[in-house]
Amino acid sequence: MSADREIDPNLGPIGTELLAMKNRSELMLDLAYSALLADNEQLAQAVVDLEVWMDEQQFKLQRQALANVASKEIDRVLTIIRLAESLEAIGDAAREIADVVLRDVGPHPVLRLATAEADANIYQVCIASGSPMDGTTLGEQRLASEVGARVVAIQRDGEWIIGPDSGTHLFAGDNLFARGPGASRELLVKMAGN
Amino acid sequence: MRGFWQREKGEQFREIEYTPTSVRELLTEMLDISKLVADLAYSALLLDDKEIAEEVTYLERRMDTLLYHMRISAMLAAQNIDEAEALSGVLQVARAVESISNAASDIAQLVDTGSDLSFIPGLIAKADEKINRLPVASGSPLSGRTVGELQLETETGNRVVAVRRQDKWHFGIESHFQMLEGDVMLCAGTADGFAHLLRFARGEEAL
Repeated sequence: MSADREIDPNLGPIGTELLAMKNRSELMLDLAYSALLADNEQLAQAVVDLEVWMDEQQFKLQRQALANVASKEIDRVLTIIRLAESLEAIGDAAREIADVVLRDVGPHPVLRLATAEADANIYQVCIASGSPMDGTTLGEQRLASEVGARVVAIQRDGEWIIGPDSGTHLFAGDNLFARGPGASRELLVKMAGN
Repeated sequence: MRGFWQREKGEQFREIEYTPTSVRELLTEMLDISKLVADLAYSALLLDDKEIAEEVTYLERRMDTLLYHMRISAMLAAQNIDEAEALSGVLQVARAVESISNAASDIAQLVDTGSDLSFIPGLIAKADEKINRLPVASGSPLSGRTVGELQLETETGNRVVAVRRQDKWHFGIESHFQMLEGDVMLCAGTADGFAHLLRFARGEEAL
């Protein structure tokens, strides 16, 4: 189940689908840059997973949009289709960046130097069974205020929760993708352990 | 210096001069642009603003030039097969980053082409990354300060995409840019971060 956002009545289901593509395209880029910076294959692999979803999503969205076309809505549907195309292209670009990390050759040092100046600070932490985080919500953990980490996505059983909120439950086995300074990572790793 | 002819819209060509620049400098600028250009493209859509859309087009062309320089610099930098292999990864990232600016440019071109943008404000308002306008009121702690000294991005997770000053957009806001009373800042980032920035701007909270 995707827990992206509830459907906005003004946007309808296509709006929600488009929104999910926008959010993911941004996350994918941040993940790709973070993967480059840390030379981290797990982060790069997350981008590859998300890109498969983007391809499927774009196709689904185009189909839905066309199915709903009434003549007075053509301009809107065209805008949505073109926007989805651009978002998918951004996803492809993120995937290309991730591929550099996944290649056997170590990334050129200049990539790390250049991304260090960019805002590439996503890291990945897995919740161990027996962790005090298991069964709680993001809000209860007060990660932003006490740890300085913001969880931007959760990978659970191959599914993605993008932009989780304070009510999102956490379970053992969850892969958390969080953003924050190095010290926040150490704290989060400790909390996610058992 | 040698140059090459780059095709522009309307089948026109323009010569690009090659000037030696380090691969690192080029890549840093390309990454900077790729981050900014998407924010600008969404801003152009949100405000249905042609001037912002034109800035996106300008940056997209700048990116083409940078990619051209990057290809040459990377070729000149390779001393052996291992370096060439590693540099091909750099070129791949550079190409990917350039295609981001192409995508952003396609998004920005939805402005002023008869597209129905009525759903865009609702979309951006619900997105993880939002775009907000922040007027700098008289007496605001923002007034007279620079983006760099406030460390806005680090402190609030919001990037200053552009600033509207006396009916004119200022783009390419760098750390030494000083905010003045009457400015309207265009910020992109999380809602929580913007709320924090807003409280700071009203003098209710320290950064």
